[in-house]
Amino acid sequence: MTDTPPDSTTLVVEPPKGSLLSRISLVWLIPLISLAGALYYAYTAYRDQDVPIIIEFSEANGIKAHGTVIKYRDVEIGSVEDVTFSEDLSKVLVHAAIHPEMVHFLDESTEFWVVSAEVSAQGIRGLDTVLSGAYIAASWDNVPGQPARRFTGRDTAPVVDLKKPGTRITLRSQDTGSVSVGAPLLLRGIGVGKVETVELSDAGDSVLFSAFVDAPYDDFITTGTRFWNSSGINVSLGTGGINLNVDSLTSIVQGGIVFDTLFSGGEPVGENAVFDLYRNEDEARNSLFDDSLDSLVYLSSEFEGNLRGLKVGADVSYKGLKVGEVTEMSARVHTDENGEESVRLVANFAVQPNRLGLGTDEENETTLAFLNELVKRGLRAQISSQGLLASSLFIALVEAPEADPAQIDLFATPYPTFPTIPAAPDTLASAAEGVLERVSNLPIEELLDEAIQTLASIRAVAGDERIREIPGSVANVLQSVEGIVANEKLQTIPDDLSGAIADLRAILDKLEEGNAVASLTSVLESADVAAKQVAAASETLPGLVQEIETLMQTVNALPLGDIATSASEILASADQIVSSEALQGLPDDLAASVAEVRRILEQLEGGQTIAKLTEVLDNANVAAANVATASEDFPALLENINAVVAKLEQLPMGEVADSANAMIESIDGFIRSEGMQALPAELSGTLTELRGILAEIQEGGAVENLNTALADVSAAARNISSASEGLPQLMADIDALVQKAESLPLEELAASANDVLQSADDLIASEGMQALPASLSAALDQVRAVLDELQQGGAVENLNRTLASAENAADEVAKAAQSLPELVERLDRLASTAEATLAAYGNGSPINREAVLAVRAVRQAAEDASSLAKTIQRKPNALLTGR
Amino acid sequence: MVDMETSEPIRRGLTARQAGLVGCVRCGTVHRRGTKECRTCGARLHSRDRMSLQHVWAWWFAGLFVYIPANLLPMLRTEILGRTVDSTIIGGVIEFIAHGDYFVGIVVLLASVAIPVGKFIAVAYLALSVQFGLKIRKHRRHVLFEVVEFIGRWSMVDVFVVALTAALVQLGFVISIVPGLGAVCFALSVAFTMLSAQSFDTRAIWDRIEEQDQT
Repeated sequence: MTDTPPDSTTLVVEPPKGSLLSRISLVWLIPLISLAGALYYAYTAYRDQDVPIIIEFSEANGIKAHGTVIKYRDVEIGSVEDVTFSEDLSKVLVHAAIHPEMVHFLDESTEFWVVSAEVSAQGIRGLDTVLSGAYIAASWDNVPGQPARRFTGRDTAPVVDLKKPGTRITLRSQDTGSVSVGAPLLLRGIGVGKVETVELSDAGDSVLFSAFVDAPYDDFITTGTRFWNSSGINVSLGTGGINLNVDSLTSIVQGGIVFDTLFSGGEPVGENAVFDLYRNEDEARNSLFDDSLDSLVYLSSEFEGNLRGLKVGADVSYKGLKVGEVTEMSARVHTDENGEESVRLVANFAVQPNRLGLGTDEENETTLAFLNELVKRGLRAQISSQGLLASSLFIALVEAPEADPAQIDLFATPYPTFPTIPAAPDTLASAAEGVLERVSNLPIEELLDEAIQTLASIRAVAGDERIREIPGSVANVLQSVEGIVANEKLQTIPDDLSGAIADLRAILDKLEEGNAVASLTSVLESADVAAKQVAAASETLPGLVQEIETLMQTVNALPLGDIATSASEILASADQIVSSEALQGLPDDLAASVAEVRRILEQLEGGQTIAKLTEVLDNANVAAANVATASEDFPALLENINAVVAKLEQLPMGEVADSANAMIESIDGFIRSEGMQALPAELSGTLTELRGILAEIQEGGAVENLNTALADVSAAARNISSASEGLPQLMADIDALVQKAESLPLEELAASANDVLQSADDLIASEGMQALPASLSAALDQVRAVLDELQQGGAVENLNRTLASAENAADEVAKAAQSLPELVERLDRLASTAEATLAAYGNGSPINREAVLAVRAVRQAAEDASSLAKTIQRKPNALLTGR
Repeated sequence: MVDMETSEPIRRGLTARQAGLVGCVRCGTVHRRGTKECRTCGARLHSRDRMSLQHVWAWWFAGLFVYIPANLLPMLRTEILGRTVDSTIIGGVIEFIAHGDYFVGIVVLLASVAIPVGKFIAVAYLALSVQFGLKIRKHRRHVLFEVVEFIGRWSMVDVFVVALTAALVQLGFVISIVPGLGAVCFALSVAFTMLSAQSFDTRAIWDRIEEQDQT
């Protein structure tokens, strides 16, 4: 600038141009511009300076300083500056720089994790990282919060995006049931969420799953929602055969959780609600109440006998409702009072108090007190069986009031001891066994023989036509009887009889009013005197008897044949009368007769009959007195009578009796014969006649006649009385008569009577009776013929055959019954096999182990692929150069 | 200095300015002093460019200003299989040496660091020496200037390499090289320093000699 010319004396000096501005070159603008640019760049560099953060990782898998980028939603937001160790070398500290525009989101909710290629059952992810290298992904809620610069990185990617709307729930289960992180939550087969974490509870007794359900499906989760495990393969053996369900491949490898709202009326749940995870759908559906694992009450019971068939998980039921389940089975040495040791089987079981109607949140003490109260009233645990042939057992809490008093041992270890009673013996198996035993012991063959015979007889009898007619005849008889009984007049008979009796009573009253009784008394006194005299006279009876004896001998000689003939005639006529048709009208006639009698009696009442009767009796009294006097001669008479009797005694009364007997039998036969049919009619006719006679009597002034007759009697009695004075004479005459009688040929008479009776016997017994047996015989013949026919016609054979086949069937049944134990054994074996097969699917079984190994192999393969991917990612050129 | 003091006067010679002449910088035609325009090429004639030093310094600062980000900013941006690697000049040199390629490392170090820095120093020295009349032997000053001018253009080798590789290595996803902002700055720096050197009116060197002679 101070460019002064060196030689001003010799050279023309060009003066500098006027203004200062003209002396400054425009070139200076260039450095100014460049300076401004540099400053601007520096400013922007300062402004855009990345914010350093530190992320802790347990291992820096694929992270490199100056290369690994940090991405949010696949957009780079920063990069790793350095990778160092923490002081104790337990962590890897990744120093990273985050672009400043993202810094204000870096709060405590921010999460970092390493994304690298991953081959899993749910697919292949992050394949681009194989070439580009792993990167660190970041996620945060979009709300700026408390700034943070140091973070703890996740080992695995969060399953659910932090910002995703939805509900996070916690599931509880006894074991994982092959559900792993990332397992889907399925609602009717649609994946609506995922399992985020699987971890043990603090107490270590259950597994806690944290799961996230995406909105809007989380609205479907209420307190009535149930979750169950649907993982993998489900094999069930039932009556319908074997049911095999295979879920999606993801479910097989990772497990799956299905949920559904099984109970209506549930309330919406909030964040981090806790649910139980059931092993399968049935269990979930069986959870009628909101079960809570917390409030379970554990109990322990000692059982006698065999517990084969009782399994862990078997039901504990109270009045048919499941209230708990068996949790553990073991054995315990039991020492009884005598100091003898024996092994008792112990089953521990858990009871859910809300199944007993208690609250879900009840304390264990409350539940135990309640149970203890029930036990004091007789609640006991008992092994019961269910299912076909009692293959599986369960514990039933039964009311046994007769059991010995007991209570829960609250201080027993490990669990309070619940008292038991022995198992009921009437299990189905034993009952079936007993039945079969009894069946096999039945005398089936003998029974069948008897049955054959019985059936043959029944067949024969039933086949007879006459038997078939019996109902008809009986009906007819009943109709006839009904007709008779229904006769109106017969119904009036009681009335008439009643009236007659009333009249009779009136008569008797009259008699009483009169001196009839007194008279009678005197008569009796006289009779008494007479009797005494007779007694005195009886001393002479032996002689009389002897005389009678002789008389009888004479009588014996009498022609009794005629008598018998006439007797026979009388009987015949009687027979005719009896067998007449008029007996039908008997009730009428009888009623009419009674009425007549009644009328007569009324008339008698109205007349002087009583008075006359009294008079008669007086006369009789006199007569009796006379008799008494006359009886003085009685001994002699008695002697004669005695003789007659003696004679009679000599008569062949035995034969007569036999004949009479036979005759009576014949009469009996006759009465049973057809003639009896006509008897009522004849009786009726007779009664009609009697009625007519009575009517005539009435009309003909019979009463007056009677009165006169009684007067005559009275007179007669008086005459007797007078005549009795000559009684000794009479006695003497009688004596003579008897003597005469004694001379009579009584023997002949008896013989004739005998003959008559015999002939009568023959007569009666022969024709009618002969015919009857014949017809009976014929009937029986027919029966026999029918039976023969039956026999010949094969009916019996058929029956026999039928019975034989029945017998065969019985034999078969018997054989089958013999083979039944074997069958039962086979069933048992089958059940055992099925059980073993099913058990083989249980935990720890070979198949399960195989499956686990297979799944493990699949996982191993996936891990291998993952490691391959990592290797490639670390050394891409390994693809070309090899390892 | 001793040589200069004892050198012969003939060797000093006569400058055009002393001879009342002015030469055209472009075509070399000699005019009488006072002539405004060159007869041959029509360029403006200056016996001495009074703005020369201003230009030198202006370009010099401009070059310096862009030289700083040229070293701080990445020269090359290499994308290998999706991964981006930024390389600065010094970083590249360290990397080469770390890999044992000392030769290449030293060459790059010379070409990209030593020479530009040396150029800055040399130009600044010349400008200062002209401005304040430092007593340096004229010939050395001239030689220094010649060297600066000759080597200065080689500083663009870096830029050429970057341009070439960036043009050649474009294999899409697998590998691609993009010149970074540092390369631009570096190129600008080299250009500015060249302009700075070129703005230097070498005739001012002789004026200093005359002054020395006169004193």
